Amino acid sequence: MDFVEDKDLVKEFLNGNEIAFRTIVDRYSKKIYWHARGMLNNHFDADEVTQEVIIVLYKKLHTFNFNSALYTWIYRITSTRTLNFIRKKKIKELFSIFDEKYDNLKSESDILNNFEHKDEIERIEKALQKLPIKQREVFIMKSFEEMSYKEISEITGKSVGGLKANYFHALKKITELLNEKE
Amino acid sequence: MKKNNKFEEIELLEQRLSQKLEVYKSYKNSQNNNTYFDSISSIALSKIDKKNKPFFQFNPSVAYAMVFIISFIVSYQLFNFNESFTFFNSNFYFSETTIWIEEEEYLSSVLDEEIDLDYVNYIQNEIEYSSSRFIINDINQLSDRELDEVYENIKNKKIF
Repeated sequence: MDFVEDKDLVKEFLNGNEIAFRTIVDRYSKKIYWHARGMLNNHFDADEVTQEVIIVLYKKLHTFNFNSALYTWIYRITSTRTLNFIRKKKIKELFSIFDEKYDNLKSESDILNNFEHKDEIERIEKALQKLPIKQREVFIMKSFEEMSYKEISEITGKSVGGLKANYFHALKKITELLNEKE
Repeated sequence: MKKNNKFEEIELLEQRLSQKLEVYKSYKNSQNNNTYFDSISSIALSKIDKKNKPFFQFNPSVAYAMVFIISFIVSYQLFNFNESFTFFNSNFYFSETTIWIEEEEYLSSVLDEEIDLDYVNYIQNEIEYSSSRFIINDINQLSDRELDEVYENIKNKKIF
């Protein structure tokens, strides 16, 4: 199948072509998942956020105004949903809703289980969790998703200067954390 | 100068981290988890399908047939087709339609029931009414002097 531009896929979907939406989902589900996973540090929650974002995309795609790139728009939704998820989780933890069974369930279904470098990835994920949320988000977007400061600024609505400062602090802290455990 | 130092520090840190982060990136971009990502898309899309699906789905022809059957049953209940329809029938209101007959039966049963239930009260009310009539009659027969006396007694609260 020939490569179809994102905006053309959106137009096709808005004209009733459901396959176009499937193509958008296939193109972006991995990116949504890995962003959420980096922010949340576990497969179970990342899976939940990914499904939620896909459903939001389906419902809200008619509001996409074609002024920005589709991936910027999708990342903005992913970022917002992930931050909301973290807030909700903190509230739930405050009332001790989570228990050990839930944690076991999370680890059993993890896609990392069959990966030989699982431990190395888990170390990075744990180090990421020690960063403040803003620094973590910028670090994930810059280091793993290889976005420019301008793109991150469009998604998060923060100034480029502020993002650079956040990234610098995150980079320093992650390097320390990963080196001290060796 | 300070800016350049910071930039160099960032580059240095990135270089030191790059090898460690490469494992994460290569896993992230690998095809190993394609099965999972296919399934997550399907699960999310099936959720959307479920949300879009109405509770009851009818074939239009079945729906039309049902509407026809229901309207036929209702109209059959309203009109008794066995009897001929005529405006000159003296018993029209209670014989031409089953509904009227049923309503009449219902009303008569309700009336019977109410009389049975309120019989004691009804008798009591009748007695009270007639006794009040007697009192009125008695008063009417009083002379002016007697009437003044009763009035004075009421005024001085001697009667109650």
